[in-house]
Amino acid sequence: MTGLMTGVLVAGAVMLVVASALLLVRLVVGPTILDRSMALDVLVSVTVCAVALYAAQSDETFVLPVLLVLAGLGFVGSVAVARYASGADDVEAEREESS
Amino acid sequence: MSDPTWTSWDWTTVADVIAAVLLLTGCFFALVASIGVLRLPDLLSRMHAATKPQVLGLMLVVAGLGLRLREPWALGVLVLIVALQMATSVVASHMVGRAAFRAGQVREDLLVVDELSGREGLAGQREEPRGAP
Repeated sequence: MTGLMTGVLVAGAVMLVVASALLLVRLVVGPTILDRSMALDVLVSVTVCAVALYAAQSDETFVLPVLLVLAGLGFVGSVAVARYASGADDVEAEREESS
Repeated sequence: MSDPTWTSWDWTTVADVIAAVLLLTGCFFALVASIGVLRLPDLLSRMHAATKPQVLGLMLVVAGLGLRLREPWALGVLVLIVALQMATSVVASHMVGRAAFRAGQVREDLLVVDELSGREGLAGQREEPRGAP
């Protein structure tokens, strides 16, 4: 069954790499900080998927706490950015740039 | 199934095949969502696309991983991961959406229904106390 799981790892890794590249484009393009934080949140989810793929292929269980920490970390990052972006000073400049 | 190769399969193989299908479906959801995040026009519709890998894709991948590992304590940790993600991603999405709306970064021409801007206290100015959620 290692052959099947290696094929799944390669196929899933290709999809996740393409997904990460598209998310990085959104992360760079912006246009606001909330877009960037949301793209970063999705990127953390993609990382969770990648680590789970590795665990499924190698049958290792020591990465499960990593998954747990990553699932909690995305939440903290999003909430912190959203909390401080609501009072940001550069909102007007970002608005004119996006329109 | 009359195919003789099926009789030689045991439940371990069946669980591995189901796990492979679930893992690939979860990765496919991540790919589709990132295309949506790149192409959709404004923040709220991008968040709509971003929710899929965060909840559904993660559930599929974690279910596939649980079918592959087949250990009781690993199943407990995986259930904890899904519960944590389902509890926190809605709160994070709510805060990001409210922050975007309050900062005026939502495109009004794309909204079908806007029930928030007519509310008392939000009508003239979009200023709220700093502690508001």
